[in-house]
Amino acid sequence: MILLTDGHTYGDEEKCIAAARKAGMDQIGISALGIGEDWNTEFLEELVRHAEGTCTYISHPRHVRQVLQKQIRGLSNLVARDMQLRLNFTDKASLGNAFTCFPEANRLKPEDSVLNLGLLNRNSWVQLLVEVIVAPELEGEHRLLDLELSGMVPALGKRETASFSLTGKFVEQPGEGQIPTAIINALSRISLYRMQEQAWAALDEGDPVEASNKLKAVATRLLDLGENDLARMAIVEASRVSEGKQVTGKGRKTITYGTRALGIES
Amino acid sequence: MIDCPSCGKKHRPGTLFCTECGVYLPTGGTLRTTPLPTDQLPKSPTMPPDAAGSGEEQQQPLRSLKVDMLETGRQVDLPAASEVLVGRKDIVHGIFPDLDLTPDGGLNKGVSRRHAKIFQRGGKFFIEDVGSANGTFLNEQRLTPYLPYPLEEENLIQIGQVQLRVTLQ
Repeated sequence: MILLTDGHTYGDEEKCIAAARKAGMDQIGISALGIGEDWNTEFLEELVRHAEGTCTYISHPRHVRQVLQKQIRGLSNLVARDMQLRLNFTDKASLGNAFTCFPEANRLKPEDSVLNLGLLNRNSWVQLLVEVIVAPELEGEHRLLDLELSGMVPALGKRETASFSLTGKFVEQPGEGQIPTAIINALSRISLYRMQEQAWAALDEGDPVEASNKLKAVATRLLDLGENDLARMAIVEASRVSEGKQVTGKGRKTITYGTRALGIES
Repeated sequence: MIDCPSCGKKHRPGTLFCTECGVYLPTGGTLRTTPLPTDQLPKSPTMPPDAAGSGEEQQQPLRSLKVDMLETGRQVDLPAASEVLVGRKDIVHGIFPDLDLTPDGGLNKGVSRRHAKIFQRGGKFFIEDVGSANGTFLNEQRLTPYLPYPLEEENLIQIGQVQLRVTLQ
């Protein structure tokens, strides 16, 4: 189900979330396309989270056709749905933050040690970044967690599961070895995503100075990445905040969804 | 602990990205341009006092511009307007410059979508680079972005790598 909506309800958000949850359990996916700057981001993000969907920001109605085609193409290429990654940590480690890096940068909210990854399309992949917290005095080689990846494969009519373990080797000094480019790229994008998250959090907590500084830092990073238009938007919004003005809805959505969608080359 | 060279925040050894400012810590971020001593940079002509927005420009008749693209031979007459945007058309982002250099190989020759503007104040013409990626040159002198430079009756202007002759009419 693809919703074209502004995300504003008539006081029945809870009922909508309950309906989305039921739809998810009945294997009905819901994605939301929000047009313009006034749609209710938080509510729609929560809604689609229960039904394996995604939220897409459409800055102008002329982009609707392109986004719809992409969504429908994705549905016709479906390999697995209800993808889940269960993380069973040993006593040596615990979970920090978790993010998807591809197809978009986004924060994952674990539910009972399970990360819900949604859909998996043919010729595509899902790239994750999971922060594993260990005790600082840990040395030697240790098994940190067992992972169980599962997904419902419609072509087989059953749920497939794969299991593996993660072991870490700990030394006193970081080694000289080359860090894989894919990891640096993923961390770079997530670092940027977190900075814009922190900017909005500071703003929501009534700290415009911190919010403005974070937005300026976001702009600098975006310029480094060659994302000049997004950077310009971040600078404009940082200036507005430092002058005591409200951020524009368009600015906030463009920066949030723009940093999410930055491509990752692996 | 290691210090972020950009913002000074302390991090554990091995940290790759500063959580405060996002800088890549192993190299201290991307290489940046070192500011040259100001006496090594060409001086920007001073803006005449009557061009500082005193309101006199409202009384001056606006003039038009003739633009010759030196490589392609294309000629454009720009009607009288208080400001002309020079750049490259981008339909997706809704950028439609008054002088679109797409037909002159603008994309391959480093023309930004919003590259420079030519404007009239107090009966005089000025050109200003609006933060382009590859710079604007007036009579072979690179312009400092966001500073207005006065134009003569005939001017050789380079937008990225596209060369223009701009004549006041």
